[in-house]
Amino acid sequence: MPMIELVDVTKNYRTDLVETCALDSLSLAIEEGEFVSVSGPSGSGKTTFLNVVGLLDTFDQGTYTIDGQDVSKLTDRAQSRIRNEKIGFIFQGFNLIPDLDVFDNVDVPLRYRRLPREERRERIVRSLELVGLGGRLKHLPSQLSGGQQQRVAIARALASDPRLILADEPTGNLDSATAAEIMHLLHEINEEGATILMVTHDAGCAAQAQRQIHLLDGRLIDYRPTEAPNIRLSQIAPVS
Amino acid sequence: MEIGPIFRSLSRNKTRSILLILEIAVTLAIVLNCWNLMMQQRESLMRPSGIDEKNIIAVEVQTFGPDYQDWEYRRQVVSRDVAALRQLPGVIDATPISNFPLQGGGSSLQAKPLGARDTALTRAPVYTVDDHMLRTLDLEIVAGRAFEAGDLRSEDGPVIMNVIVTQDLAEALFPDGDAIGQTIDTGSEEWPDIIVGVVDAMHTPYGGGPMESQILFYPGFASRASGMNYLIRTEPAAFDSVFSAVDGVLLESEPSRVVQVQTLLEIKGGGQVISRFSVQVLSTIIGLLLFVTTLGIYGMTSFSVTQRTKQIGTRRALGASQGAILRYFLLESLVVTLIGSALGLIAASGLDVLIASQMDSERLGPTVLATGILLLWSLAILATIVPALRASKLSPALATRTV
Ligand SMILES: Nc1ncnc2c1ncn2[C@@H]1O[C@H](COP(=O)(O)OP(=O)(O)O)[C@@H](O)[C@H]1O
Ligand SMILES: [Mg+2]
Repeated sequence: MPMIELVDVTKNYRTDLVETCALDSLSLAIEEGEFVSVSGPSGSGKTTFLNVVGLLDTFDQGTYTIDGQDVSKLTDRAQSRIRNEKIGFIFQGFNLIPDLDVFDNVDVPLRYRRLPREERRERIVRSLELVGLGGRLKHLPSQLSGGQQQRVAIARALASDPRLILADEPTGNLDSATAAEIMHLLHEINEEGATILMVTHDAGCAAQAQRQIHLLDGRLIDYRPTEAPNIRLSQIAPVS
Repeated sequence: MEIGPIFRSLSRNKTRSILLILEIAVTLAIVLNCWNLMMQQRESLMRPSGIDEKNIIAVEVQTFGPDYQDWEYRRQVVSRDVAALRQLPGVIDATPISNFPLQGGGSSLQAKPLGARDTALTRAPVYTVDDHMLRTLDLEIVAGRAFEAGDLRSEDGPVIMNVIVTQDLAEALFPDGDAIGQTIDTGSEEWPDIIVGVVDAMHTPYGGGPMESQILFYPGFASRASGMNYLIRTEPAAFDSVFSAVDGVLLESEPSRVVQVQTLLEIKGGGQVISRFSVQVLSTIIGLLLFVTTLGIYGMTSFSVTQRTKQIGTRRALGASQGAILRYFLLESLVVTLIGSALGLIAASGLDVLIASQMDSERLGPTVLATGILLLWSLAILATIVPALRASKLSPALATRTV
């Protein structure tokens, strides 16, 4: 069973003037442990795709199952819980909370999980050390460089031990040297077993993924379900 | 819970929260004290007068001419007038009186037990009435005796007087016990007064405070060169007929006078004007302040929701349910309200001390404190819930929106 499976998922944005088809009958399966990059021109639906996969947005038609669970049937609480426990998000703009220091920022998802104080502290320190920021617990985001902020955001995503990391242009706001460091970090995380789905503009970054998919006008192009399999070949189910 | 991070986040945004905290504190301090004063005014308005006010007619007589300069002449006129009034069918009794009760003021003096220090001085409204006072007002003697004809002065000038006091005044002057037979000093140690009777409760508006029921009665033919006042109590059925007969009766014996007849209820209405006005002013202040502060809390929450849409989306992405977002904003506003309330309570006590030093009023009590604070908190929750609900309905997809 694939970890993520979309079948004919369609998503339209309706405004007063226009209706945009952001995802057009999209079908796709992602296995646990894969590192997948999503690329395509601006407006091709990459973010929308990531939002749907991350349960940040609804869709109009089709089905989406995560670990075999049909998400459209879940309540807000259950969806929030999946986001909290299974998924770690990394954003282009880092999305740290400016009024909270590094420690409190990483603490945010752990509090929603109602973990005991000691365990939260251990996880926060461990994941910040992993991204090389063990000594910056009391810094505010504004006191950190862009690369450091993105590391905090990655630590925040990692702190709850998610099995799926969703990243929307994680290197989009960073210079190329810093971007390379972040990519390196993502690879390490993937090697630890986490599934990574990364949206990127950058062809170089996309090429580093084990599997690349391309979007155009909300549709997959050149889609080959089993392209660049990395692990557990036997588990990959064919998707038509 | 999230209290720790909320507190730290607020303290990094001091300017935003401090203004609101101050607004809440000032509002609470003023509202609590205004409320306290208003409750006292209302209590004073609601309080029974203790006299048969519905069935009493108040007569004001204006006199002219040199004859009325003479005390003895006036004494005769007053005696004749009240005798004639008492003859009217349906009249229960009548008395001359120095000032009308319930008019919201009048004449007062300070009394203390003879020989006591000035700190024992108690202010009391004072009325001069004759030996028909009890039946006219419908008061009852609870200790000692009523006025007798012999108590009434037979000449003008200083004398030792027998007086009647209300029970509240008796207790204020002699807290340890029997006031009957005690001597009180009302300004002259040489001519003190002796308490011969204590009547049950009577209350007359006099600007608030305990003095309103601590009343002192002198016996006499209350009159001045410019006129005299009478109170007439009637059977309920005879009220109207007596009312219209009064000026005829009075003018028959002494035509060169002006007689104005009113009901005591009309006088009471006039006496309550200031109290009613105070209640209105105070309740308007309370209402406005609470309204403005509610608006302030609404504004702050609304602003902080609008300003943090991206953060809300991010929190949702990180696992916050709609309920968690709602709770976050409610808690944040609660923290601000609690700090403001704590400061407000301190300020309220300060203001209370200041007010108590300026006027004879009751101190802030737990009932007013509790109701005031609960009201403010309910308004705070009400003001927060609307923007907080809006926040909880924001889409998690805001997290990935780039503009
Ligand atoms: N909230 C929205 N309302 C209306 N249209 C939207 C919204 N978000 C995205 N779109 C439209 O949907 C299409 C896909 O957008 P998006 O997924 O953000 O593309 P990408 O991330 O590949 O640039 C675009 O045409 C965009 O204008
Ligand atoms: Mg995008």
